[in-house]
Amino acid sequence: MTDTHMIPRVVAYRWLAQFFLCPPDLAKLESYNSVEGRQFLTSLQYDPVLASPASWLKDAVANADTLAHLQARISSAFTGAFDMGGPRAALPYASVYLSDNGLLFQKPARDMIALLQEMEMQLPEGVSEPADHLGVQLQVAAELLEREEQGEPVPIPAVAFLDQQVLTWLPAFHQRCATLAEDNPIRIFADAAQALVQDTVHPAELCREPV
Amino acid sequence: MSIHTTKTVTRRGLLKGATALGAFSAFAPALLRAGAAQAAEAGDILSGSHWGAFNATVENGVWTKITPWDQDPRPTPMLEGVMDSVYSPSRIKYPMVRKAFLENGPGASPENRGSEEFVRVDWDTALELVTNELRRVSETHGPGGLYAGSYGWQSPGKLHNCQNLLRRTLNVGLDGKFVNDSGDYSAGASQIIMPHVLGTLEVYEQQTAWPVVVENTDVLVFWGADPVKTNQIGYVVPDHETYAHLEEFKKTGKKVIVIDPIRTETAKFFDAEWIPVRPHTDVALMLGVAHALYSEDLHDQDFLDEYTAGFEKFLPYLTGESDGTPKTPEWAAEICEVPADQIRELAKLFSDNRTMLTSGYAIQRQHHGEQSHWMLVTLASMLGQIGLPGGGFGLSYHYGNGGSLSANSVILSGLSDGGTAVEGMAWATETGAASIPVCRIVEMLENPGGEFDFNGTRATYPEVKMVYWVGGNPFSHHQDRNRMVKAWQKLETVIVQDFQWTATARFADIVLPATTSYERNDIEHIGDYSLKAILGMKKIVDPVFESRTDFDIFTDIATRLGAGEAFTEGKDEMAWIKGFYEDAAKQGPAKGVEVPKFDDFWDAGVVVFEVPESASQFVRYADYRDDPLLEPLGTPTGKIEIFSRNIEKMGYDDCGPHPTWMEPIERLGGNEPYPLHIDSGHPNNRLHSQLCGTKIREGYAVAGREPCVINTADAEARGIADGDVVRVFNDRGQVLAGAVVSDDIRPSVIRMYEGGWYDPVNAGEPGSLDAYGDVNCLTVPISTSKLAQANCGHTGLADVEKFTGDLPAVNVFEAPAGG
Repeated sequence: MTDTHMIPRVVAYRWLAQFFLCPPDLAKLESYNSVEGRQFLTSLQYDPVLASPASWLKDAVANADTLAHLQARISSAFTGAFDMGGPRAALPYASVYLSDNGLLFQKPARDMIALLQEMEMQLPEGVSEPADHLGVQLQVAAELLEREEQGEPVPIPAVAFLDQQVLTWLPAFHQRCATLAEDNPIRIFADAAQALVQDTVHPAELCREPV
Repeated sequence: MSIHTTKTVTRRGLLKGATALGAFSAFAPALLRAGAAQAAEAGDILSGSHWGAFNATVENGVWTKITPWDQDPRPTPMLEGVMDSVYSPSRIKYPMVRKAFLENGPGASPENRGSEEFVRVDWDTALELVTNELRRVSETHGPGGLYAGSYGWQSPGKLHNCQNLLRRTLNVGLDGKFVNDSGDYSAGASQIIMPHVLGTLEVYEQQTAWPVVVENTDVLVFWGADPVKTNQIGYVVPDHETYAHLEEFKKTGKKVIVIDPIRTETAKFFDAEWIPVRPHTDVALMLGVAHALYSEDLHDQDFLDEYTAGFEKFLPYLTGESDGTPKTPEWAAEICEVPADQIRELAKLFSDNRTMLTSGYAIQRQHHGEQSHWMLVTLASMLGQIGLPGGGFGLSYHYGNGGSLSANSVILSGLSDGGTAVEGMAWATETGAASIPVCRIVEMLENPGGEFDFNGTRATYPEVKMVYWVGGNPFSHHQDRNRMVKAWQKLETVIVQDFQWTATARFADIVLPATTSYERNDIEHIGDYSLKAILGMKKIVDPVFESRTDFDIFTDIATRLGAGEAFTEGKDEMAWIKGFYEDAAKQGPAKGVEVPKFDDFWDAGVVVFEVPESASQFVRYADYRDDPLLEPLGTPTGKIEIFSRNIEKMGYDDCGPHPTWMEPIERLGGNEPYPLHIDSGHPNNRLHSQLCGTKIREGYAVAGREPCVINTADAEARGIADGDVVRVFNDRGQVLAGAVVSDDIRPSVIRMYEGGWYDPVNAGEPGSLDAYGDVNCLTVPISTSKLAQANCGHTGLADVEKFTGDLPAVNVFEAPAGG
């Protein structure tokens, strides 16, 4: 299987995943101000599903009073959406949307743990999150896509995984994020995640300008 | 979605420009770690909780099912909520710091506590903040600056006793310089006065064994006690042995009387005679019975002469000789609304039969609550059956499955608080009390340097600037919430360590995420009184998110304070647990108990001890009755003190030297600022506020709110129907609740259980409407008296109206809003 997207989907999934897993630290933001960083973001801007977050990040890094301010702003958005409750909350866990009472660590988390075991993979170092965290799922999708591209066996095809274990709740998460302010980075990145997964599972449904 | 594209760029060009995939990987790394994942935990694990021992089924490292321990004779339905609590959306996931505190330091914008956003920090940052604050407050404000009384029910377990661990940290790391507390919220009045009367706490003592009661008691009275409800829980792991005995008693068909404004679970269980007494008038009712006993010569003068002291000084009060008011049944009937004839019948019934007068803590958790149990003991003394099989009184049949048979077990110690007693230290006299009565915390904050009386002593409140709370939720158990919200603003620093976003955590500056007791190993007894077994409280799942065990957190803080070795004594979690067990095992030979090796015990998960035959014949105070000279009580006279010279010497105007009817600050038929009495008893479906944030709530919440039971006539008069959302209000606060219209409650009384989570619509604003139903927004903040300084959690009147405004959402069962 050959990826013909503007930005390889493996890259797209991994780039988005890291943002959901942890807000970028100062070093990461500084790296986006480097030649390579700007070039990378420019590359992403040419991809329909990634253009919006890439543009936001590029502008934010370029125009921030200080990167520390930007980092604080992103962290605040991250905490407000992922770590807290209330109207600004959009918890990034499948279990919250697929279980009674919004409980954490339910069947979606168990399914993800089982899948990771089958893939002989573990959660990222230093990440103390349930396995059904969106960031983990996007990383798993990337891993499945990469293995498929390389002709390696996979426990489940990437598209099937995304369809059966991600699209079952991502729209609900996306909907929660849609209530956030338009310039809230969580909303911008959630838009992209929804579009990316949708594009992968149902490519024809995403309206895209020709490149 | 905004998509920016250009038709002149090709994919190949892009990839080339980005130096292809190699450059991408720096910005889009593969974060999953390769390699065989550690096999996730699976299987069944025996562990325990305040609700009983249970088996936890784990699948792929996740707890999926809970089933009662097969030796639990009557598991509680609340167990389901135990599992729920681990995965609740109200879990605290990471260390959090209130934004203003993080940016501007201690004391920044305290008025915003409860409403301001929190900022996630890493553990190192959080613990540096904590340690620096402990040092700063200690150095700047002295030992009176830090309050670590930290009260609450925490979780069972001999090691992760988080309140002990906190004090141990401060004892070894700050030389014990902190303010502690005395007593508890459960039985604060009784536990102070009973030692004067009986020489023991009495409220936490083993009771006459249930088989003795079943065989010998003719009339079983539950006076403000509901054991069917309250024995579901235990301070350790409950044995639930009571229920079989209650069944046995029920089978006898003997008389059961429930004296209570509510037709309780126990009343329904026994189909008992229900005497719906007016709240807060139990002492008057008891005096009426006592007067009938005396005036009709039904009392046991011989018992009074031989086993009690001071009846002759009480008698003039009873007869009215001393104050002109005979405490006749007619006098009592006017106050308590129990007919005088019925009071006389009770007196005759009690005296003609072997009568067990049992009481819970409710009738002492009210203004002048000391008098209730003192008068109950006096009444039992007049009946003369104390120390006889099935007669007398019992103050703990409702708690910890009192009266269950005591096993011949070895007894676990636990981690000590690591210090000498704080009381009496030199600094205490310079900076204020080293220990305050537990429920006086708001007075302490409001009135630094102010004097207070307590059980014959007089001390001054220290000027506390910092509070460290762990394993408790004062924003649930303390009275007059709105006054508390304001007082809390006087603090410079508030640290809360918990596993969930309690109301207290929401009003903190630094919040540390602890594990639940199901994410760590520990050891505990089964059976508060029976000590039936020792249970390995095994870890069920790994700590979720970034939570850490209490032992781990305090080890880190103690280490930062330079006292890590003194704190741990070089032992880790399992070494401590093994040590507790092996120390207990040393008692085995002397008790004739064979105790398995630790490894065998831990593999099995539990060791159950035999119950000796003698346990089923235990009669409380039988030894005293048999030989009062050789087995005297621990009172000054060695007898039951109906008149206490020690209390007389204290000279308190609100607690005299013998049991006395004293008008409470508010009551129906007395000072009645509002028309309805609030009965704020212990909940049937949770432990105080514990488990309120779980699925158990779905079984009792009404319109998503805490239920408010209201009598049919009272509801009709207010146009309230079953299921309506109502506003319950008085001068102290206002809460929303869901109406339950019922005739199981006497008119003019409403019942809202304590422990509903405080959910202010405008957080941090005193007087805000509470959207869920924390009854302590409505209760009075005063203490029982100068003697015990205990809380009056059941005192308070209010009114109810149908709520017709815009219904605010209930938000308290998830993490607080980000700001």
